Formats: sequence, C-alpha cells, structure tokens
Amino acid sequence: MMHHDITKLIVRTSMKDRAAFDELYRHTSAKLFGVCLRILKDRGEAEEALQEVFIKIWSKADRCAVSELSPISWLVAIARNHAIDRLRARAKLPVDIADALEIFDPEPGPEAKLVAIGERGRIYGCLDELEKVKGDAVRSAYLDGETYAELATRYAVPLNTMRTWLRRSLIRLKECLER
Amino acid sequence: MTLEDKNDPMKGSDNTLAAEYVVGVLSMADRRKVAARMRRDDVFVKLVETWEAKLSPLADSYLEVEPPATVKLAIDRILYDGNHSATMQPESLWQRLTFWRGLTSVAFALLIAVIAVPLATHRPPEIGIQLMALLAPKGSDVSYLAYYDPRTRQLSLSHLSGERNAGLDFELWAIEGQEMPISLGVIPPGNRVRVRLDSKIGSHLSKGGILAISTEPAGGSPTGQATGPVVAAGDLHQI
Repeated sequence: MMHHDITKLIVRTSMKDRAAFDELYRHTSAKLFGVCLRILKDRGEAEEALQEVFIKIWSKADRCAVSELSPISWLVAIARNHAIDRLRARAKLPVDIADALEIFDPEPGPEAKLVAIGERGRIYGCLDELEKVKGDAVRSAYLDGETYAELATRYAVPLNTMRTWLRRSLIRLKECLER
Repeated sequence: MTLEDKNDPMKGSDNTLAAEYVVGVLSMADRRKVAARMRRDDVFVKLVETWEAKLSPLADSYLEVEPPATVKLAIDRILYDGNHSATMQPESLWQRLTFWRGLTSVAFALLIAVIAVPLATHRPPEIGIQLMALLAPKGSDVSYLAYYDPRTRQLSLSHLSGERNAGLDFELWAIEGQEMPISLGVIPPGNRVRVRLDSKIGSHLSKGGILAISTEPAGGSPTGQATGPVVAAGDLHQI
C-alpha cells in the first residue's frame, strides 16, 4: 500500500471513520505487531501493547497531519515508543531468553536487505562506515529498545564508554546521512 | 565527570537528547521527562521528528507478524462500546455505575482472554488473587487498564486514551456493593503508573467491585466524594 493511501486512511480515522480505521488496522497491524513483539519479546504483552497502540492511533490520528514524518514512520514511531515505555515500566517477568534469541535475529531481515538497495538503504551504508560493533550497538538500541546499561553489559564496556560510543556514532550517522 | 564525558561532543545538547529518545536508550524517568517536554516545546518536537525520520529506515528490519484476531476485537470493544453512555441523563455516581456494569462486562470477557491469560501464565499460582479491570470510556475518550497485585498491594494503571483538561485531575474510586465509593487517590500523569494501596483498601478490592475515574479539581475531590463527572469505569475481575 502506498504512502498516500495510508495518509488518507489516517486522515479519515482522525474523523472517527471506523471503516478507515479497520482498513488501516488490516494494512499496518502486522508491521506494528512485529515492532511490539521484537521490543517486548513476549507475545501476551505484545498483544496488549498493540491494542493500546491502535487505541492511541484512533485518538491521536489528527496529529499525524502536523507531523513531518511519513505516515508509516509515524505509526511505527507510536508503536516503538509505546513498546519501549512498557519495556521500561514493566516488572521483571520471566522471559525465556533462549527462545527470544532464537526468534529475533539481530541481523537485518530479508526485507531490510532488499530495501538497502534503494534510497532508504543509505542508512545501512552509513552504519557500515562505523566500526562494526558500534554500528551493531546503534541498530540493536533502535530495534530492541535496549538501555545504555544493557548495551554496556552486552558489549562488556563501562557505561560512560557506551554512552560516548553511541552519541558519537549518532553524530557520525547524521553527518553521513546529510552528506 | 569522566574524561570521556568531557570529550563527548553531544553531551547535554537537545540534539543528543532527541537522538537518545528516538534510538530508545533512555531510562523510564528520562523518557517521561522527554515526553513531558514534547507536550510544550514544538522546537524540540521537530528535533525528535528529524531523528525519527533519519533512523526510520532501520524499522524495515521489523518483520511483519500477523496478530491474533482477538486483538482487533478487544480494540473495537474498547473504542465503540462506551458510546452509549454519552446520551444518558445526569444521575448519581452510583446509578451510573450500576448501569455500566452490564456494558463493560461483555467487553471485559473478551479482553480477559487477550490480556489476563498470557499475563497469568507468567506468574506462579500461589501468590494470591490478582485483579484486572478495563476502565472503559463513559461519555469521554478516557480509558485505562488496571491490574492489581495483592502481593505488592500495587495497582498498575495503563493509560490507553484521553487526556485530562488543564487544571483538572483524574481521581480513582473503588466501589463495592452498596457502599460509598472509596477514593484511591489522584492518578498521576503517565502511560503506566502505579498506586500503592494501604492494606485495608487492598483487602477491600480483593472482594471485587468496580473501579471508576472521575474528573476533579487539581489535587483531587475537595469533599472526599466524587464531585465531577465519571469519565471511565469497569468491573474488577479475578485472573
């Protein structure tokens, strides 16, 4: 589905058009569920989060019009931020880490590899310009919503080092994308 | 301050904060501060959006996964079931709640299958009876999901929709049987908030009943009973 079609559906949803909302759900729920599932790594919680995300979309659809983001990026941003907020807020529930790692491959998926050829793929070229481990840290911070502390533990570096790595990597990434 | 901090080119700038928020590395406290700032600072919102746009191609790596049909059904119940109450005449808090009890139980039966079952399977059975309530909109767009854990006496509230008007607060009430509503306090702003209940109210809640939210002057009801309209309500269910 094209961007302008999604935009139309969001605009109609902002006018509380249920049919448009249903269609928007049909076209975007699988993507947004993928976002919630990857960040929360728990099916039950991801379903709950997805439900809350679409209720937010229903009530905030009018704000999409004033956003400069593409409509799908706007939807993904809502889902990502909601899932990350839940991740930070939740009590430590037992999650089978082995299962989670098996399901969630840290490498870009086939879709991303395909997209990497086009204009949107420039970010992968820019990430590749970073030292591999730093590029990976940016990627997994974004995709999994990991905190500085979690990243520092995983890469076995002090917290301040991780903070500096990531901030510098983001600056270099921005410069590369603006080149 | 460490050497690394001094050399850090992005330390402390709004640009850094926006980037860190978007990339997702901030703590809960910092994320809340950023969210609060975004409500009042449009320049900062633009910075965040710039970063969202720059990093958005990374989101292509999220694989599509079809959610179960129960999710959409639950969304529809929450969004559309509360509409009936908009045309009701003003009545006492208690009368309105009795009427809504019937409406929300249907919505809740479905929701419980979606949320409570997976949640319950994460917890050992011996820790007491946990309760959930869907506080569905009542003539408003305000809705919350409530979860009560008797072990910690904590009531967790997930904010689903609807904002409070400036200068007003949401106050949470528990109602059991024919008794007068008991205030559980003003609900702090936030997507997910926790309220710790004293043991007397905690054991009271364990008997079931209704949770309701009314709109009150900032700081809560001046009288100890609800003075403003009820904007959301729902039955407590054992899970």
